[in-house]
Amino acid sequence: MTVEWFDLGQRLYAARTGQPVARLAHAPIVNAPRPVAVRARRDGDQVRITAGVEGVEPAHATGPAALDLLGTLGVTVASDTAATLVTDDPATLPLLHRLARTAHPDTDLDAVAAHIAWWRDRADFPGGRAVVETLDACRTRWLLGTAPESERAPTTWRRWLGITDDSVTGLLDLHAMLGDGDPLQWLDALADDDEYAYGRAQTDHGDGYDWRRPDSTSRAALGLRSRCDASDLHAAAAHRLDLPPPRPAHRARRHRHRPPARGQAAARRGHRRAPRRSPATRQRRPWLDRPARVQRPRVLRDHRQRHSPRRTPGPDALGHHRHRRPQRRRHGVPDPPATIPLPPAPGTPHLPDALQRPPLVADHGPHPDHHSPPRAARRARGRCRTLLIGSAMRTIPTLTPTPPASGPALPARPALPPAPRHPAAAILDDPITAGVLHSAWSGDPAVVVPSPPGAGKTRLVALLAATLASRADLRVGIAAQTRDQAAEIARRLGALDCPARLVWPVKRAHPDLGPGPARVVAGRSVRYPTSGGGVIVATTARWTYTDPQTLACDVLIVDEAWQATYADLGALGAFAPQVVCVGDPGQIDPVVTGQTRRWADSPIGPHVPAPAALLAAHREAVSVVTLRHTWRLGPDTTALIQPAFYPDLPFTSRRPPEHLTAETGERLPEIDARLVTATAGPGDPALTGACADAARTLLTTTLTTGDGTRPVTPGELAVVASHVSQAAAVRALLADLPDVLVGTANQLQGMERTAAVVLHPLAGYRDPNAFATDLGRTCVMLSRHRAHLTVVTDATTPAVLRSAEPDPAVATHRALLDTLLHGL
Amino acid sequence: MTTPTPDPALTDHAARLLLGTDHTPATALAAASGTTPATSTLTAALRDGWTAAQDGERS
Repeated sequence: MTVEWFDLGQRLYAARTGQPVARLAHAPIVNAPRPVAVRARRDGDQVRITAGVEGVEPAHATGPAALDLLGTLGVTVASDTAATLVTDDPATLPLLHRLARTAHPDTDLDAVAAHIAWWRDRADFPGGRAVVETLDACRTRWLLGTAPESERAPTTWRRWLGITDDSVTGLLDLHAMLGDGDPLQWLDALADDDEYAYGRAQTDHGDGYDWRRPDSTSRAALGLRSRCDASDLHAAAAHRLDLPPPRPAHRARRHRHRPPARGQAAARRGHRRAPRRSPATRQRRPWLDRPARVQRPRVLRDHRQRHSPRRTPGPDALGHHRHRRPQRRRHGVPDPPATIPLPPAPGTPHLPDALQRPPLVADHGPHPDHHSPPRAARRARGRCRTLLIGSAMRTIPTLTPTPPASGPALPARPALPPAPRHPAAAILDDPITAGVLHSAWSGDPAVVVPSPPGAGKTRLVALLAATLASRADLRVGIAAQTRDQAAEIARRLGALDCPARLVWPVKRAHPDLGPGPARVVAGRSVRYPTSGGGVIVATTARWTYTDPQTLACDVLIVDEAWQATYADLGALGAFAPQVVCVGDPGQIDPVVTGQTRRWADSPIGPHVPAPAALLAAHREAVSVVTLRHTWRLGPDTTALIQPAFYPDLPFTSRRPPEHLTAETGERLPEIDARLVTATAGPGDPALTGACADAARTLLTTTLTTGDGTRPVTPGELAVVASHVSQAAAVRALLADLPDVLVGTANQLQGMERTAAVVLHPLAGYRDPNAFATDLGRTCVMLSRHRAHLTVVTDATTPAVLRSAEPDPAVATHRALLDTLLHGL
Repeated sequence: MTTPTPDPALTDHAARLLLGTDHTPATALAAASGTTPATSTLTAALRDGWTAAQDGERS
């Protein structure tokens, strides 16, 4: 609330003086060489525009004539320099885009339409030179002595800034006023990017590229990354953070462009010939090449075929054509004992029927959700490999030799000792996790594993990677979303006796991976073993900075895949022909800082969570294996969050009984709610104080599990809030208890504690905004605990939810709060 | 440059922000301008905003 009061103080001063108050010391826009002021509105089915440039009287036109008018004002990609759209109406650009779509591709007006399309594309890049929305720019630069809502009207700004001309010519005056003074730092870099993009638009138009077509996957991914870079840079500039300007090579890497090598630069100067890139390198740029059409996946017969030089190149799961990899040196390396030759083709005579059955996990029952009958039938034809891991997947019966009818009796054969159990064989103990292994081992190009909270995602990832690496001799890559998650996976792999390698920054302290064989590697020296399988663990960001030629693997497992974007998955797809996405569909979506309105209606937009987009794009090529049990959440919590956040993912609780007991001997319920009256917004000290008090109360309780009863320790507690400021306040109040985990939902995603205190995301709000009602955030907050959850709620929140507009998220929150307060 | 009259929208906005506190828009103005001493988090924030606006006034 302090920020709002600070803002109010500024507004009161502006009202007293009658002068706008500067928010920024610099201009938020750069000077544009050719500004064109435009206002557009609908006129029946037509679009009517008013446009003008400096020194020319404003003109009006409707329909195709409007495109002509813009063309005469220089809005065409045939022009050497781009025009800048200046408008004070957010509806103008969508209407112009609608107008542009009426232009036929083979006419002169298409050059005007292409320029409008370039405006629409670049409008998502803040601080650029392509489009200036004067309302946004004014609110960025100044603050008025009126209510914030009044600042959304152009007339308010004209009145306060003394602009009497309300035509588009007045818009040009306002634009000049906005650009007065030194611009913000680094805006020149964004303007350079605009120029580069304009050149690309001219080239595309000259090459006949139709801007009306939807973006390809690679183009969309590149567009999203560029938008995020521009937004981050503009935010840093506007908030005057101490951020160094981007180096050209750094920017080029982020944009997946290869900067000129030293030799190439020298060649341009005429000193010597630049080294040519090898054909393989030229073709290994997944996001610069158009992805090929995804074909039905090939089922690999044997892992040795993958490494065979005779392997036929083909598209991987995401449509990238992979290239033949040289055969790995296997001198003296015997064939892995885990595999046996392929079974004969069905129908071969003189074979027992059982030998013609598919090598399914017969002992664990059917898998209703991940194998369609046709696929099972294909597998029944013996096209996939038969596995002998321990004994759980053995399906081929042992033929008992019949003793001869006559002759001396043979001595009884001693019973063979049972095969030693593989450290990661626990993956076969559960039919669902065994199904995941089966899908991955069978060569399915993409496997998606949706999972509720606490279902053992990290355990599954570790077991799967260890099994594939050690038993199938495969190179496995694991992409985690954070460094902490990557370290945890590496730790678990080490505990499974798997010599995994965790890629870690050079200048960062190495995490403790325990006594196992897992090791931390830094820098660019990481490689897979020259023989046998191996596991490399890194964050998604780290993988995307790596050369796919160097770290190409056989299977890439994406942990917490719902936190990765489809663009991320596309980049990861360059590393392996198979991907396995494990994650929680009910939690926080990936954080995307750039504008995504270009793909707002697309289910396969680059900003969409990777597995969701993958299923939308290639449903028939993706195997889905669902985890259906939570081992963390108790029955009450499961009954609360499953219908609210996972309507399409039914799951049940398999948590062993455990509960907290108060000092008085009273058994605490699994979920408790505490009402607090808050009057000073989300940062009200009453809310954070109640959270700290609840945490201290929980420290006086005892935990009862199957192993007995013991006091609850600070390390078993978590306090979760929505905002960083709330978490900081609680952390300050609990400064004497440093072991208590305090953080935001984003920070605590993936973590687990015995008991948790949650500050309701709507506490302190008087209107339910999108951030507060985000269901993923709420789901994370309500699912961090095992034995007990205390929810601190604002007493006004139920009334706020009742008065809000009907919205699915609001309705879910209303039902949740009713259950919390009355239904438990 | 015109001098706008006191804006009722700003008064409403201030009243909404001060809901649940001991202040009204009038007392908030007095606290922000330094007429009354800043003795609470609210008045300190108002005073800080006023001072920052003085430094950033558009000439």
